[in-house]
Amino acid sequence: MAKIKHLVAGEFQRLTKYNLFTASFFVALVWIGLGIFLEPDEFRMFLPFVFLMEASAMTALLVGAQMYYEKKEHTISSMLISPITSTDYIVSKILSNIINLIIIFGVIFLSMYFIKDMTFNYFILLIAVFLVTSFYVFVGILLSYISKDFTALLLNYMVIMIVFILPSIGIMLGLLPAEWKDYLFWFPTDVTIRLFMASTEATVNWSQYLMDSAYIIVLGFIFFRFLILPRFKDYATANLGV
Amino acid sequence: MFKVKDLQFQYPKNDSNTINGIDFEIAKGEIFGFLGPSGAGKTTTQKLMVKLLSNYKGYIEFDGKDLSKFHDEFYEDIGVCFEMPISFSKLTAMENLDFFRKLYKRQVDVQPLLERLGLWQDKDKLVGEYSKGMKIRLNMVRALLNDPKMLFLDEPTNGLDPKNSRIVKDMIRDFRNGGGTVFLTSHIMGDVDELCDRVAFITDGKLVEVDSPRNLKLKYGQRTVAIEYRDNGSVVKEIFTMDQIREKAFMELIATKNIETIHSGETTLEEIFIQVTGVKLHGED
Repeated sequence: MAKIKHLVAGEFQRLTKYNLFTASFFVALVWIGLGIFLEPDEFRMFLPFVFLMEASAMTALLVGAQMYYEKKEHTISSMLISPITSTDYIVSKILSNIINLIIIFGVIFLSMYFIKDMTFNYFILLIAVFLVTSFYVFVGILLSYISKDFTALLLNYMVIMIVFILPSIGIMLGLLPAEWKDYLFWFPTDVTIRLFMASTEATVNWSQYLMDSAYIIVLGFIFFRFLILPRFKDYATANLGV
Repeated sequence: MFKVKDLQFQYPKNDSNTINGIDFEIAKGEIFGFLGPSGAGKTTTQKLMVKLLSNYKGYIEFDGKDLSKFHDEFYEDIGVCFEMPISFSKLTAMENLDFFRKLYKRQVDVQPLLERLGLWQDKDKLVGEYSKGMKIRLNMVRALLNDPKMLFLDEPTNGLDPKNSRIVKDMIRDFRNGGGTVFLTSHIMGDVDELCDRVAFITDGKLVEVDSPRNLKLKYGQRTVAIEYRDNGSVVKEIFTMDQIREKAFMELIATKNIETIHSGETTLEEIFIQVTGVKLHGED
């Protein structure tokens, strides 16, 4: 546990030093700015977009960028010849990104509380942060696995955005037919939106919420067990002299 | 300290083995050089020994125990010095070392190491602002952070000026003199000759020679002495076998001629490398 704590502290130190936290914080300020100018009901309509961008798109990109730097500077290999396991490393990535998102959401929603008197079901919100962030950390790791350099990382990220996120946003904004929603029901993007939006509803549909939670957990486990872990050492030690 | 028996390894995407049944042992307190051309299996062997690769055939033993039975605790006892810089460039040297040091149970005081390698003054500088030589020296500190029993050094003096190269070599010797074991790879044959108790040559995944540098030089060198002397204004060269140097002709030449150079026919590790691996060291074929 002490090692995980130390790894998470290290992740945060680097998020700050590599200005990745600053970038994330700047995006949060954009949402706050938007919240100031919009009426509470209008901002509520905008919330799925905020959740989606922060919890999924930003998390995947942050993890991809972190791993790009770690690979480029060979520090990921240096960690692997330390007494930590690949799982310790991945868990520290998950925890640091969860904490990062809690801070970002804390800033956004505290601002909304004081400026617009908006409140949420914070318990639901917290669970959604845990589940969704864990899943998108895996997406970020996969993104770095398939990207040879930073340009490829951004291109692959754009492809993921277009395939998985834009259709949901298109439906939300009325740019795509509403009936398409049925086809996207089990898309990770739509599951993410439902998990987060449950925190804004007066009455939570618990059966749907539990099904969505179970779905994202199972999907995350499949990613971790069959796609992430088996390739991790190969990825970390490729092009390494030793 | 390390026993490798009939080690075989094949990368999943390859048709044939990269390592073809190699055997060697490294004694405790020994500096063992592992040499070979690029693609010979040197890096793969090292990756297997530091558990960065698994699924091998054969047997590897570390400190009396099957390597495959070790988990994270294995890394408490080894230090690895990579050839390329391995630090977070936007963290200072001290921040880097603190981060890695706290991953271990045994932690050394880094100040003497940094001072010896001339980095103490720059400990609070971002590693991104370090020169290549400084980054390589920092790698050496990183490898020693946990007071390891065994060091894996990959080209530890590559990119260092003669003064710092000397410091690093002295540190390697001191580590050995303190009971540590070293697995060293280098293309700088002078360093290998100077440091290693024994060397192994690997080519095409097979070990072709394992012996001390002295024995290898005796085996591959010529038992001759070449003498150059000046006679009537021109340089004359004569070669004698070791058996002939006790004879009158050799003694007379030494006593009467104006000798300019005397060389034994001992070969160099570089020549042995080329001979046993069939590959030139610079601009390897």
